[in-house]
This record gives sequence, C-alpha cells and structure tokens, in this order.
Amino acid sequence: MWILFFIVTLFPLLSQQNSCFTEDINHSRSIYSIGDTLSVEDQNFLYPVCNGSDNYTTGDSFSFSDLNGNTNGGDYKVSLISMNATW
Amino acid sequence: MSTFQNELRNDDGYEDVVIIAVGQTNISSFNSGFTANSDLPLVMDQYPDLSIREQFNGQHKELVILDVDGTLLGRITLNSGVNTTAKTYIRNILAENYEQFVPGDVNQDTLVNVQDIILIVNMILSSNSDSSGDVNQDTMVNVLDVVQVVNMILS
Repeated sequence: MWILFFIVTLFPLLSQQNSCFTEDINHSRSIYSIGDTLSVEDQNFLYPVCNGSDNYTTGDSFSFSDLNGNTNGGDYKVSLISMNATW
Repeated sequence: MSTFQNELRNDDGYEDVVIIAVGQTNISSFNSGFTANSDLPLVMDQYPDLSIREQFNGQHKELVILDVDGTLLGRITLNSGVNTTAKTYIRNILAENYEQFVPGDVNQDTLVNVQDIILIVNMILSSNSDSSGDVNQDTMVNVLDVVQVVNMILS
C-alpha cells in the first residue's frame, strides 16, 4: 500500500524536482532569419541549464545575453546553438 | 560536438567560440543519456513550446551561428553529424567574421592578450589610433579600451 502511495504521489514530485524545467516559458518572440539580430527581450529571456559546462553549472540560467559582450561586461562570444528534439 | 568546439578553440584559435546544446525535456533519457555524455552546456527548450527552436524556425539537428550581438550569421542541419561539410561551412563563417566581432583582438591573431594591450597603449601614446583599438566602440581610443581588454583577458 505504501509503495503504491509512493509511486502515485511522491515519485512524480521527486522526478519533477530532478528534471530541468521552467514554469513560465510563454513569451512573445520573433522569428529570426540570417542577418537578423535577436531582440533585447529574446536575448534576456532565461532558460534553465540542465548540464553544466564552461561557465555554467547545472541549475544555472542561460540567456543569449550571456554571450553578448555589450551586455555582459565585455565577454564577447560567438555562439553555435545546436538544437535537438531528441537526444 | 564538444570535440569540434575544442578543435575550433585549440587548433583554429577561435577561443571565443562556444557551442550550446539545446534540447527538450519530455524525453525520458534526457538526464541519464545526453547530459551524462556531454561536455557542453545543455539548455532546456521546454516542450511543447520549444521557444528557442521556434524563434530560429529550427529543425531537429539544426545548428545556428550567432555573432557577439546576437545576429544570426548562418545555419546548417547536421543530419550526418559534424562532418567535413559542416565543419567547412562553420569555419568559413568564422573566417569571414571572427576578427570583426571579437573586439580587443587588435592585431587580429584571433587571440586577445597582452600584445593587444601594448598596441592600444602605443596608439594612445602616439595619438595615432585606428578603429581596431576602439574596443568599447565609443569612437575614442583611450584607457577605457585598455581596461576593457584587461577585463576580457581576466575573464
């Protein structure tokens, strides 16, 4: 009985804490083509970091402005963003 | 992908290049699979919104290249992984743009180091400056540009 209770109630909660997600991801955004520059709003939007490396640790937030030397104090980075639907 | 990042940084001298992996979270192997095997920062693009992919109108396995102010420079779909064609495409874009969008690289050797500081100081002392020394892009070459390059090196 207790095992069933754990599976039904606690396990989803624990799993959620260990996963990497944000509650409010909805914001209006533009669609960008080659030559376009991301808006300040889109550059400042925060995304969770699920695996830390370089200057990030797991649990940090990432934004495109992190790579923009004009907004991060002069640390200019050229970024390659690799998008994947599945791993 | 992290191997290619090391190639760009160590072999090609593009030390200010970062590769960010973007994924979604409704995949059961998300944590045990990818994150356990990657040396790249992994940013979550939450399903079903997938806002990062949407703003680039991106496809699965697509890679986009952004310069330092967030301008989209190029895109390529890596259906066959980071193969020779993909590497050549990316390297061509970097070769065309890297010196232009890495302020502080005054001598354009793809590195920002003390040699660039010396060049800027010489510009200031000789009053014979050019735009390459105007790191903070305030139309003047002065001690503020030196400070900015020092900060770049220290960071």
